Parts: sequence; C-alpha cells; structure tokens
Amino acid sequence: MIKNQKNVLLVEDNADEVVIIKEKLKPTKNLSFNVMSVGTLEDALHILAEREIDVVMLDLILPDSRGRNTFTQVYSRFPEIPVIILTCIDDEDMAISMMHEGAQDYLVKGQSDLNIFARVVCYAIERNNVKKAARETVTRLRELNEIKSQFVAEASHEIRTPLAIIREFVALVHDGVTGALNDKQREYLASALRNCDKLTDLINHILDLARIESGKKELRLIKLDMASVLAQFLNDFLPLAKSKKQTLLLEVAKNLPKAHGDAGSIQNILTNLIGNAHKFAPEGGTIRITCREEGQFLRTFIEDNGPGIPPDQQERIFESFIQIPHADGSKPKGTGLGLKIAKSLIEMNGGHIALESQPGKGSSFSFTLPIYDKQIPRRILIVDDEEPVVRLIERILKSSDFHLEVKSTLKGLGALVVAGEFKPDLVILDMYLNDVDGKQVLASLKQTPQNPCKIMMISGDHTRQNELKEYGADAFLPKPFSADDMLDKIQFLLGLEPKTYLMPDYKQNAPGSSGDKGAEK
Amino acid sequence: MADKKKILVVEDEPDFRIMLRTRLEANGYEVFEAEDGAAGLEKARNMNPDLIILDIMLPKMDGYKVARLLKFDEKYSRVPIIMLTARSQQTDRETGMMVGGDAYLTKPYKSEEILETVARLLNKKAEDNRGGS
Repeated sequence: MIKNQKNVLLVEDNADEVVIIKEKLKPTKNLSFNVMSVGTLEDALHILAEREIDVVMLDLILPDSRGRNTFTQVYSRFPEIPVIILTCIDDEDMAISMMHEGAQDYLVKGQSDLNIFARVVCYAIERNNVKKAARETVTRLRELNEIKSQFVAEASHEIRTPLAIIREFVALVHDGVTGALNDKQREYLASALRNCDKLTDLINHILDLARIESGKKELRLIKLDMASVLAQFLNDFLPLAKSKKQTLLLEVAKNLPKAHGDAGSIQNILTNLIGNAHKFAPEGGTIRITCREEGQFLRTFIEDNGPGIPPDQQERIFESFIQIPHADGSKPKGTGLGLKIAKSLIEMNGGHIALESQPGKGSSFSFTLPIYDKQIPRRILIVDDEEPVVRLIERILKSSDFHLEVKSTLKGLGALVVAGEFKPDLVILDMYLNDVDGKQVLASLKQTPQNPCKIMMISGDHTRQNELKEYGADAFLPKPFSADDMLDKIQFLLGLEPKTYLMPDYKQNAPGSSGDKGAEK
Repeated sequence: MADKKKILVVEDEPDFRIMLRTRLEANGYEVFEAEDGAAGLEKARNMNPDLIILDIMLPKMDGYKVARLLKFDEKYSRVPIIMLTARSQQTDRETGMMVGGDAYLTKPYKSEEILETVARLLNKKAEDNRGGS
C-alpha cells in the first residue's frame, strides 16, 4: 500500500526548475506530495539525516558537487531512500549509468509531462519497497540458515559422546572382557558395533558440514609438501587397498612447489576422494594419484578404473545424500556427504574440484590448491632459561604458517646484546630467569628506542599480568599455554595475515572471542 | 612377570571411569580412580602412579592446574599425563600440545587410541629411565 502523503526532497539549484517541478507534483485526488527543496548537496544530506524522506529527486549538477559524486554521496549514506536522477536532455547516458549503480529512475528536465512525473515518483517508492523487502528476506534467511547450522553442529556434538559410550560398552562385552561369548552373541554385538561406526561416520560428516556452513570451520593455512602428504596418506591407506587387492600408484613431479593449505582439510579431502576411488574401483583395480603444477596452483588427480559416473549425474554428485548405485543396483557404503564436504573444504582452501568421468572406464577427480608464496620473514627472539620450553616454543613457531626467523637465548643478561644484533620484531620473554629478573630485561628492552620490538611475557603466575603491562609488555601469555594461544597472540602482535579463514558471506567472529575453545564438555 | 603398571584415572563422569577402568584392566594395568581434581592430585601424590589419565574439566580443580602442580614438583614431574578434552574443534596433535601434558586426546576417543597412547608413554618413560641412569 502506498500511503497518500509522500515526502519528496527536491535537490535542485535552479529556482525556475523548482517551480516547474513543484507544479508538476501538485496534489491529485488520491495522492499528494509534500515537496521540500534545497539547492546544495550539503543541505540535502542534512535533511535526509533529520527528516523522513520517501524519495529524493536529485539534480547531479549542484554548486557544491557535480556528476557521479552527487549521486554517490547520497546513495552511499542513505541506500534505503530511492533516488530519481534529474537530468538535462544531453546528459541521459550519465543518468542511465547511475541507474546501474542504484538509482531508481531518471527524469529529463523540460521534457517530461505532468503525468509521468507523479507516476515515476510513485513507482520509484514502490520499487524501492520491494527491493528492501527482498533484501530483508535474504538477510533473515541467511540468519536462519546460520541458526540451523549451529543447532545441527551442537546437536551432533551432543550425540557423539553418548554414542561413543554405547559403542565402548558394547565393544567391552564383544571383546570378551566381561566373560566368554557364544558365536551368536559375538555376531550380534559385531553388528551393533558396525552400526555404531556407521552412525558415528554420519554424525561426523554432518558435524563437518554444519561447521563449514555456519562459518565455524577454522583453517590454519600452512606451507605443505604435497609429495610427502600424499606419500604418507597412501602409506596409511595401503592396508585398505590390499583388502581389495588394488594397486596404488603415486606420480609426483620432481621439485614440486609447496602448497598453501590447511593440513586437516587436506586429510579430510583425501580421505573422501581416495576412499571413493577405493570403493568404486573393482577388486584388483588401480587407483592412480598424480600431482603437478598448474599456473598458480597445484593440481592433484585421483583416478580409478571403476564404473564411472553418467554425464547427467556428474553435477549432482556434489550435493548432499546423492549416491550413484553400484552396477548391480546396490547402494554404495558411505554417508553421501563426503563429496559435498570435500568440495566445500577445497573451495575454503582457495582451490576448486573437477570431475572427468566416462561410464565404463572410470572417474578422475582432481582438486587444486594455491602455491605457497614466499614472504619477508619476521624475526622472533626467545629469552627463556629453560631449554625444553625454548624447544617447545620453537616447535610451535615452526608449525605455524607464518614466515619467521627465530633465535633464542637462555640468558637474560645477554638478551639486550642479542636483540641489538638480531633486531627482532618480537621478543618472547620469560618472567623468571636464572640470572636476572625478566621484568628488568623487559624494562631495558623497552628503553632502547633503536630497537622498537614488541614484547610478549610468559609466566605461570597469572596475577602479575597487570604489573607487566605497566612495565611495557605488549602481551602476556599465561603458562601452560597451547600452541593456538601463542600463535593467536603472535599473529595479533605482528599484524600477520590472519591464519583463520571463514566462509565468505558469513559473520566473522569478533577478535578475541574464543569460539569453540571455551567449551570443554 | 613385572609388576602391573599403575594408572590413575581422574574423571568425573562415571561412564567414562567404568569404561577406562574395564578396558585398562583387561589390558593388564592396575587402575585407581579419582572423581575430581583435588582428589586426583592427592591420589597422585600418595600412590605414585606410573601414568595419569586426566580429564580437563573437573570439579574442585581443573585438569590444567592438577597437571601444572604435578609437573612443577620434582617428585612427580616425570609421571606421564594424558589429558582428555571434549573440545569439539579437532585439535592438531602437534600444535595442540599443552605445556604440562604429555599427550592430548579428544573425547570421544577410540579405546585403541588410549591403549596405544598409554603403551607409548610407558615405553618412553622406561627408555628415559634407562638412558638417564
């Protein structure tokens, strides 16, 4: 429903035009326009901020702004209010291009007759309302989808624990721990165990998918040697391949550059794709894995000589619960979610998945991963008198995807000299040192202006945090800490590229919010 | 035969306690239990176990603190500790290692996983002792 009184803001610096346009918008039987007019962009923005305006009629050429800028200034600040461009006869192209950028309509001054003016204004308002409603619907649907995914993720997690308990108690009886069983009993319990495993797989897949869809899946992108990742994976996979007398072939180009990806995702992707190849390749068949460079990417192929996938099914198999039956019509094992998970994970890692398949000959799935770029290393100096702690921190730093150069010293007294030579970006400093108080090292480092490094203090004593901050510590890390805790802080302190990638289009967690980390039970 | 290895299970959920006890006893270990962190710490000090399986979320004192107090104590610092967590995010084993714990398992774990980890840590401890003396 269009309400009968419309507030129109007319932005026009030519007084004659204002009179003409007001005339054209004179009230009719069903409709009346309340026209306010201003002559500058500045005044227009004022009124838009203060009054409730239903539509703006905007001349692009004003004393304080000209052309595209006039429209952009209004539209970027008030995207909800429909704008009608007022244009001269020789400037129609500009008006049309404004419509591509969000203007609702345009009117040519001096040309349009009375009826058109009123109609254009009404339609502009109406179209804008429809657009707004559609936008609100999309936002709401996105929110609902997120709530759904979050619910599924939480529910799946809650189901996992009791299921694991059921499985283990059945397993204890099945394994004869509680006394001898007859064959029937063992057979029935084995069946119960198989179905527990099936259900566990399904829940894990649903959980994976829900995490991906709700943007909760976090990736730690690191430098990956695909040659060794694949070799290791196939080595673990060998017993399964042998059970069907299948041959595994691995062909990797020499001097293959390193990939940039999340190790956990890659394992998950390989489990799904190579698992499928194993399932569909025949007894005694062959699974061939190849990896090669392709522009800015590494492409990994997984080929099997199974029955292949009919062309009309090739798009659909990436959807949930779509499975291609075996040649004898039987349903394949598995959850029907594996390919969808693999596809999502590959895309989150910045690659894409492809499929080539000829029925009767076999299928070839392939996926790409970006090649790891070298960056300038950041320098970190570790000052701690306990050698095992130093080694642990070194290991944590090495495991990260950050490009770092690390040096360490066990002595607090020499730390200043080492820092002067090494010029670290960050010093990780233990509060308790053998030879000198860590606080003193902190204070002296902070008093050396030629060495403007960040300092992170570590200590088992949580109560000293504020005191250390007063001494100039940039961060405090309580012991014991996890690798994630440490790397999160380092990333923040050095302003490194975030290691956490979330699905585009979804809300990003506020910095410092711990996400899943707080939930222990 | 050598004496049975003593394992202390600190876990507040009865189901997990029974599961762990039964599985471990069936594999030749002697099992002691504690239901909260404070009791766990006391039992660890009194009976000097060969290995501790420690849940992180515990009443009275959390697993981190129990581990820290034991690891900072000369007398017990060499007792291997397996930390159990229900953290739903899959934790990378290498990078998720905690200072204090020797191994880190996510619940729900497989019984093979825990048996493997127990055996590995006890072997490692035996080797360290031989190498150290």
